[in-house]
Amino acid sequence: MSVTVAEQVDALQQLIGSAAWPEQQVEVHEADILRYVEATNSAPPDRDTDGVLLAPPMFLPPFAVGGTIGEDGRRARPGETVVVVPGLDRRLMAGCEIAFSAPIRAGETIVASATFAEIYVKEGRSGPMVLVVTEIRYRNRDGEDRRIERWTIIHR
Amino acid sequence: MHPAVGDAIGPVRYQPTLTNLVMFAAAMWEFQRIHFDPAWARHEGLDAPIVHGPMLGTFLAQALRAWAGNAGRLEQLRWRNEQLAYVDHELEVEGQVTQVREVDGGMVCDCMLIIRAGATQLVSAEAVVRFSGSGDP
Repeated sequence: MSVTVAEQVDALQQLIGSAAWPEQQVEVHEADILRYVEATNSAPPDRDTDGVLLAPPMFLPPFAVGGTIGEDGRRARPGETVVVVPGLDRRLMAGCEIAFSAPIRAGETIVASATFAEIYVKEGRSGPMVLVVTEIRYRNRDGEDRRIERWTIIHR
Repeated sequence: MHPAVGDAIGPVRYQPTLTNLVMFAAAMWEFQRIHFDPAWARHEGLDAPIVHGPMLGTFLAQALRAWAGNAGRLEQLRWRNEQLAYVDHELEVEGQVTQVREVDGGMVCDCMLIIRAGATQLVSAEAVVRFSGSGDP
């Protein structure tokens, strides 16, 4: 007897509250910010009174390194728990919700921790879809929040 | 700046090129081929490479910055992808202020935005922007 999507989700929901991948940290360089600004045609970033470059709100340093990269170019980070829903092979980014605390600054080290926040089924036009919400919290080494993101990925 | 309900945000136009998408992938060190490889995008059933989600978020944040200037600070941003945004398409970001509240001596604005390509709405979004003090820069 085949396993239904609802039964698969019941099993996947045990992941809620657990880490989606091990904590990662990366030092932010001015060049990281300037490359992002150039790629997105953003306005020149500000500096604080000490001359430290302040990143635009949506900037993130390049955390991704290591793990494995598939033929499609998608990376599985080292130690990442990759959610697979048999029969629902397409993954689409449904949206994102971000709470900003303070700008990321050149020279600081940003620590990212990712947790599975929600996993649930929704009925779409072409059948059941599974939505996975991952919360990623970005802080500096002093524990000061920079932002918290919640990304929703649809498996269908 | 004295924000008021009904204030227009944008329109601001962007036309992300393949070069922009390659540069963005390199800046993030993320290389999903649907974002820069036309043959692979077709292999996955897409018409062309699609714009990265965080780049769409960047366009929303930039449009808010162009409206609010240095006086406003983006506190929250939420968006939903409704249709795919393809490379080289002209994207227009626009919105308006839907609510203004006085909080702790500052002004907090709720905003609604969309991203569209021509007549097709691709993204709907909400944002919260805080102006400190009186709202003056």
